[in-house]
Order: sequence, then structure tokens, then C-alpha cells
Amino acid sequence: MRRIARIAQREFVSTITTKGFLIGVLIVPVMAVGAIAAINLLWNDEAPAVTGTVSLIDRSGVVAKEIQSRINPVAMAIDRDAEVDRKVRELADKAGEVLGDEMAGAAAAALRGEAEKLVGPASDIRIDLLDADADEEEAKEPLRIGTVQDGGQLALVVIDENAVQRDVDGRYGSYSWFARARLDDRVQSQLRWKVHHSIVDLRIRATGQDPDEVREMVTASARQAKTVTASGEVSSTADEVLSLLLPMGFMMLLWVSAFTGGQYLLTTTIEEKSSRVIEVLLSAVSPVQLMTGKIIGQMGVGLLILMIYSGLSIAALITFSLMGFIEPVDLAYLAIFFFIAFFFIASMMAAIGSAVNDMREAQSLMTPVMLVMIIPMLLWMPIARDPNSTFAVVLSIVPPISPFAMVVRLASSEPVPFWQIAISIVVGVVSVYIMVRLAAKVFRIGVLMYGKPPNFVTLLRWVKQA
Amino acid sequence: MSDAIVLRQINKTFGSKRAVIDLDLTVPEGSLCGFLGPNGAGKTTTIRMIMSIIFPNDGKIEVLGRKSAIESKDRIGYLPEERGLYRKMRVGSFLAYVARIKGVKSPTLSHTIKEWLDRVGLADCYKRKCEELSKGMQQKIQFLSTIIHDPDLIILDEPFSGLDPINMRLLRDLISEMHQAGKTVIFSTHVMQQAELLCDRIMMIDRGYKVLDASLDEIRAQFDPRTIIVEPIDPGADLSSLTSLAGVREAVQSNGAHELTLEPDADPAETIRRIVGSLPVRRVELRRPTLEDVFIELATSGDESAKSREDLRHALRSDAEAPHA
Repeated sequence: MRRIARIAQREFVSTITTKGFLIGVLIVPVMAVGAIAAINLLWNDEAPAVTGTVSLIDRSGVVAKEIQSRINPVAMAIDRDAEVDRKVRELADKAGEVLGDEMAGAAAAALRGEAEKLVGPASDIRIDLLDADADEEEAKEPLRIGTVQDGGQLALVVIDENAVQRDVDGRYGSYSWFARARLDDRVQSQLRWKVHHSIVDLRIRATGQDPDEVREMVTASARQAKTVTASGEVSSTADEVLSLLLPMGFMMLLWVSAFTGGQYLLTTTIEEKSSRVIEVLLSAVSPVQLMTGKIIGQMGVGLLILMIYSGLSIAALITFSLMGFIEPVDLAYLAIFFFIAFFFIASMMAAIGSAVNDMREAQSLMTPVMLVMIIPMLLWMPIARDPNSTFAVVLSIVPPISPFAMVVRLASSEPVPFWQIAISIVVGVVSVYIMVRLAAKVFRIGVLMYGKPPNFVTLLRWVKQA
Repeated sequence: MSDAIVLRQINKTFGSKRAVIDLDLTVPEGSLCGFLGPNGAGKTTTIRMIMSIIFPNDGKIEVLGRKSAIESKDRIGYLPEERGLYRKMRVGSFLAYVARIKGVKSPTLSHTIKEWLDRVGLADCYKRKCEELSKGMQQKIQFLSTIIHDPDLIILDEPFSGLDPINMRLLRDLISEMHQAGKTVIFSTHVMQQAELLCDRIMMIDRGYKVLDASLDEIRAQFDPRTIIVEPIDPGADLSSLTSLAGVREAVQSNGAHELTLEPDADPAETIRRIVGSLPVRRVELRRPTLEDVFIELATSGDESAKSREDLRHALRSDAEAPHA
């Protein structure tokens, strides 16, 4: 026992004192936050400026004017200026939070320049009004040739005869939209909104009412929408996001901690084997003792990572008073499923590491393992959405995916029946026992085998041999 | 005196290859024993079986009075042929780690380690990383890791390979010292001269079979000298007449001298008298058989061709470092 402890201690200390470990542990959260921030920064929902015409066939005969008043270079420049003003206010608000209101006022000039850059120049689009009885197919023809950049026809709008006035059956018509290939989707939606508003406003005016008034009448959004928990209240948007993020967070925690330990185990085993230290070790301890010590050491590494990350996450949740979203017992389950996931993965990694001569050979054996382990990554969303579906229940019982699927279910909104948790744990423990036994057999033979890299068939033969 | 190692009818096969065949071996306690044989003879396999790192297909092993080395691992020091260190570990902590997993509980371990490092001339390496050391220095650290827990039985697999003459001598001194302190030492080598300089006992295996297991004195007595070295006063003298002398089977020239191999039934004393009578000589010597001769004799018994003997001798020498006394 003392020796296993020595080996575990060395494995743990020598792993966590490497620069790679320190950098890795710090870099993963920084990269996650950075990626989210970068996407936010780079995401631009402003339509780019384009030049060209939109052909219009107005079969109703009343909409063309309205559309022309909205889709022309002057109107679009006015729209663009309004958008810049809105952006300036938005930036000033943000700056005000950081700098204080007076300084933000002083910075306003600089903000306008920034906002103009963000919004970009206005589009130069005119309406090319065709005859009311023009042929639709013929009008489409120019869209089939050339590109958006040629500055020619960008789209064709065909307004139905009954778009504004109900027909004899009492029905309203609408419009058809034909766009050139690769016309930016943001430009398209901008233009279609204008067509949409033109038609709707005309209909409202036809009844003798003011369109702006009606718009106000039909709007009533909730002043506040909050979810109330034991530890406080959060906006419902945050609740929705959390109910998806929490399961993913739980799964990622488990995945990262179990895999980092496993990965290190693979690396150190290969290193010991290729540097031939292994024989020195085997003259002092048996292969099974060695493997046990190494796995326990890396378990410490995995636990450390789990504690660091979950500690940070809990600190963040407490800061935003969201702690009420987590049941303390879920944390205990997270720990239990960590052990199941870790021992399964680690013994597999130890077996692979013992069997190969270098990292390159390990890759070929790792591929099928990785394919299986990617599954929880792909499936967390459907499991989190529907945690008690048959699909989710089965996945949370079948090893080696079960620990990952189960923590996703535990962290999602619907409670998991206790008997399913119990079955998952029992099946998990049994699978770990079998895996460790198999791994020990492979390890015993593998560590002293050099030469031809083994495949899975060879590993199975070793299992039978031992 | 009891025996440190006893092997009875050991067989080991790898797939279809028989690595060790019906091996019986006895190493008395306190002996310094050379384990010889050409590359691929089965030395490392045998040593690994003694160490219980691999297991024989059948046969019985007894190490330090126990059923296997597992039960007496802490009393055994083992230097594997494939040597390794943790490259990133510091020398001091590496030696301490190896000692601890071999059950050393002494609180003065770091002191012992420093003393040993001083002894092999690496006193300033305690805090250096293993990867910073030269290959020869690493080898000394590996040797220290073998003996740091003060074992009773020391098994060294090819300890001399890759060492320079000075370190070779240092290692030889250390081995002799262990031997004098009453420890049992076994080392394998394919360099016969090393064994001849150090050992009081020799075991030889070839292609899985044991061919020799005796004390050095017994071997010398058993294999009587069959080679006479003749060096004429006049280097240009015609020596073709020597081959026609009664009792001489063949003559080979080497380094200005002539080695005459005797017929199996020839009397060396009578032949020397005849040589001296036939020409003036600077030196005539009845050469004691070296282990190399003995090995070649044993390995090629039944095969009389001079060519195969010379091939074997060449093979033995090609990768052997010359002995430096």
C-alpha cells in the first residue's frame, strides 16, 4: 500500500508541477470566455451597403408609391442616420457604466465615429417599377445572370392584386419575393420589412386609422419576466440560458476533469515505457501495483481540476445569486460520476499507453475511444431538453457514456427518479470493475512489449493470455 | 552456505521461439557470478524471470529462499538492460523515489544519496535534472538506483555497456566492493574479458541452453591449454616448417606472433621442445584458455571447421569493448 501511495504521489506531483498543466488549467476557461466574447464582438447584424435596383410589379396598383417612398437612396440614408444615432446612444450607455456620465458625454464625438464605422454606409437601392401586367417570368430573367456586385437588378417584388383591398372572397393577398443568388440575407430582410410595412400601413390607413397608433395598440411586452428561486430572482432569459448551460457545464466539468487525468495517464505511461524506467519500477512493484498507483495519482489530478473549475463556477453562481439553481446533492452525484467516468477512461488509457511504443501509435488506438467519448458532446442538447425521454434514460445507463448523460439529466430541469440514478451508479461501478480487470491484464503484458504496435485484436489476445 | 538463486528446469517460449530451454542454475550466496553468452542467448529473459517481471512456462524458481523475487523484491537490486530515468526529475528525488518504492524508510536517505553521489563523482548533481546529465553520468545514476536500498542480491544486466574506461573501472571497483561486503552479485555480459577479470563463478548460455556453470578455477582446470604462441627472433623467418611439426594442427599469424593450435592428443611440453629445436625464438608460451576460447569451444563443439570458430570469435569481439585493467 505504501508503495502504491508513493507512486500515486509522484504521478500527482510530477503532473501538476509541469508548466503544461498550469497553463492548460488556466487556458481552458480563458479560451472559453474569450471565444464567447469574440463571437459577440465579431457579430454584426447591420446590413452591408449594396447598389442596384429592385424591380416591382404592382398588380394592386396602390402599393408602388408607398414602397418607392421607403426604398430609395434618400430614405435609406435617413434610416442609416437613425441607426447611427441609436448605436451612439447604446455605446454611450455602455461607456457611461464604465467612465461615468460626464466623461461619456465628452467621448460622444469619438463614439459617433465609432458608430458610423459599425453601421457602415447606406445602400443605394432604387425601385424599377414595371408594368402592372408585366410577365413575372420575364421579369425574373435578369436575376439569373451576373452578380450582386454588377449593380443591376437585385430582386423582384410582385404585389398581389388583393394585397391592400380584400377580394370577393374577403381575403387579403400578399407579395412574392424573388432575390438574386448570394444577395446578403440582412439586405434581403431589410428590404422585405419595407415591403411588409408598406402593405400593412396601407391596409390600416384604408380603414381610416393611424398605422403608428395601431402598432402601439398591438404591442404589450412584459415589463419584467423573472424566475424566482430560493436564493433570489433572475430574469427569465437568464433562466432559459441557465437551464441549458447548467447541464452542459456539468457535463463539461466531468468531461474535462476525467479526460485530462486520463490523457496524462496515457502520456506518462508511454513516457515511462519509452524511457525504459518501467523496468526499474517493475523491479520494485508489480505491474498491477504500478497501474493502481498511477491511476490513483491521476485521479488526484482530475479531482484537482474538478475542484478548481467547480469552485470557480460555484463562486460565479453565488456572485450572480444563482446558487438556487443547483441542488447540493447534485454536486455529490457529480463527484460520484466523476469517479466512475475517470476510472473507466483512465484504465482504458493505461492499457493503451502500456501497449504502444510512442504517442503516434497511441493515436490509432485512441481514435475509436475518442469517437465514443464525443457522443456526450453531441447529445447534451437533446438530453438536456428532454431529460426523461427514453433515449436519455437509456444513454444514462449504458457505459461509458452513462456518467456524462446522467449529470446532464441531473442538472436539467426535470428531476431524475432515484432508481435510475441508482441503476446508473451500479452499472457504472460494474463496468469500471470489468474495465480495470481487463486493463490490468493488458498492462501486465504490454509494459514489457516493444516493437510492432498492437491493434485491438492483439490486446484481446493479451487479455485471454493473462 | 545456502543458495541465493535456484532455477530448476526453466522453460520460456515467446510464441514459437524457445528463449530458454530446460535451464538449471544455482548461484551460491556471496558469489560474484558472470552470466555470459552472445547476444540473443537468453540472458535478459532469464534475468527477467528471476526478477518475476516475466514468468516461465514451467519450472521452479527460488530467490533468496523465497518462492519468487516478488516476496523478496526489497532485498534485490536490479539494473535492467533497458535503462531509464525520469528525464524531468531531479537526480536526488529520483534516487529517493526508487529507494522509497523499494521500502527504504530511513530518515537519513537524502544523506545516503549524497554520499553515494559523492562516491561516483557526481556530488554536484543532486539538484540537477536527469535530462541534463551526459549518458555516462546517467548510467552511474542508474547504477546507484540499483543499490541505493542496500540490497543483498544485486543483478546487473549488461552493466558495462556504453561506459568509458575510467567509469568501467569505477564500476568494477564498486562491484568488487559489494562482493567483499558479502553480497551476491550477478552480472550479465557478452564481453568475456570483463567476466574473467571480476568473477569467481561463470554461467554461460547459448541459444537458450546452458553450456557452462562452474567456478573460474574449475573452468581453467577443465579446459587445458591447447594453444602455443611463438614469436621468432627474426620477424621475417620462414615459419612454414612449424605447421608440419608433429602435434600441430594449424598455425595462425596474429600481431607478429604465431598461434599454433594443437591436435587434441598432442602433448604441449613435447611440442614446445620441438619448436625450440627447430628455430631461435624470442618467446614461446603455452597460453591459458580465455573464457572466449572456452565459449567458442563449447558453442562450436561438434563443429570442427576453423571458419565457424573464427566467425564466432569475431562476433564476440566486434561489439566488445577492450578490457582496461
